[in-house]
Amino acid sequence: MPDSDEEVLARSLRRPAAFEELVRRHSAPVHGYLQRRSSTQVADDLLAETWLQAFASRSSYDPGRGPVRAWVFGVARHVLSAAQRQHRRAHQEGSWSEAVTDPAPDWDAIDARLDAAATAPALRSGLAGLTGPDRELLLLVVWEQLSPTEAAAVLGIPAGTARSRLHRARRQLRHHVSTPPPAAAHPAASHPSSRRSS
Amino acid sequence: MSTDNRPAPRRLGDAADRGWHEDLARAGTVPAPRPGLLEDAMTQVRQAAAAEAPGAHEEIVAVRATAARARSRRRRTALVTVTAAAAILAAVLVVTAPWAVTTQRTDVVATGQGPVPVEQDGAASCAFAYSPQVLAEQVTFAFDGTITKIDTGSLFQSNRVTFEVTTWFRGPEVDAPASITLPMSPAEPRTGADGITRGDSRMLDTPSYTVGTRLLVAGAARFGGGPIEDPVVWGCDFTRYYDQPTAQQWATALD
Repeated sequence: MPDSDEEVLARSLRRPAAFEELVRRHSAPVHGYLQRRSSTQVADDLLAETWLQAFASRSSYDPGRGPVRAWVFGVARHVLSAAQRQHRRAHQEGSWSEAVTDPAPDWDAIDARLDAAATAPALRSGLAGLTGPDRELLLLVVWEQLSPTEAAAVLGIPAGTARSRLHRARRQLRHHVSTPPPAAAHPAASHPSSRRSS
Repeated sequence: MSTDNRPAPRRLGDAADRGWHEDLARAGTVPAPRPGLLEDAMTQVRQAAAAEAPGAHEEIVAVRATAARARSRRRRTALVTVTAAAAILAAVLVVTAPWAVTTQRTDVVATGQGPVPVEQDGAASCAFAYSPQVLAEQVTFAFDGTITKIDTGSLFQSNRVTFEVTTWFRGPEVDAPASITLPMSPAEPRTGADGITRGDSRMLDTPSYTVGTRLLVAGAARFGGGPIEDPVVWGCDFTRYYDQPTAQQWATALD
């Protein structure tokens, strides 16, 4: 039976090369996470950076706050936020706190995929109606297939808070999908990428 | 939801959620990483591992149990009671048997405060033993500060402790804040309705504290990133009462 992620990480404190096993195990999902929130090119660039940051900060991993997998996603989230901050500073857009709390997905690419779905307009509207933290939490569960507890660890919030936020987000989306917005409303007007995180 | 071999999407709620959930999951489909990308990441980590100073982690002390597990174990008091007699009997047999051997377990340290101690045969062990060299190699933030406010957490939560920072030895390179709020284990133990006592900072080799206490505080960013992002305060004698010689030593080590 292979060693658990936690055992591998502990071993890497004494034998740094052991950390490669975690890279092997989790690169594909971490790359998917980065890609869904940026682009393939950016994800390619940030994957190695994520692992270098994780390697450098591995002594700060705290098993009491969640599994290694969630911690690695948390590192990826920080790396992505930093890259977005840098990009926004360079383009004089947005604000620091906005980028930190809500690594925004590439909504244009996601819209293209949603277009084929029957619920697309209502879903877009529903997602736009969620707060930044609620949206990020929901996407961690639906896209990254993390448990609510793991998603809570990624975001650094208590598991109970994550569960109640998830319940709220799910209820809100269900409501939007079952009662679509008026036809006059243009989806772009309430697009998530144009919102400010709360 | 990438196109690599992944488990079935996690389902939320009941059938009423299924339609939008599947649409949203489909919208998250992305191509698998290109061949060679993983190797690139591996190579960079391999180089970082090779560049890590030999012996930098030699002071790591193996520890045998996590604090989280210890808490969990305490909750299983009834089960422990039932098995205690058997364990004692077994221990007696082991101790008295001439062929008895000892075993050593190595586990990960686990509490909210970095390389914290856990009990080991009545004593405590830390993932890192304090030294100015280890301090310089491992922490991402360190400062001299005085506590101005303590927000008490619930039984299972850390306190939120606000410091007025006198000197940053290590931290943000620009715009280092004049005050910072950090999660810290409660200074005194608290006993819940279940009779279990939790959260004594003295168990973590962290000084007891109150408003007005001046500490030398050291720790690290939990996820990497900025030096004070998701900060974890380190116990194990890294965070300690202020004294001028140690402050000078930190200033030199962290320069």
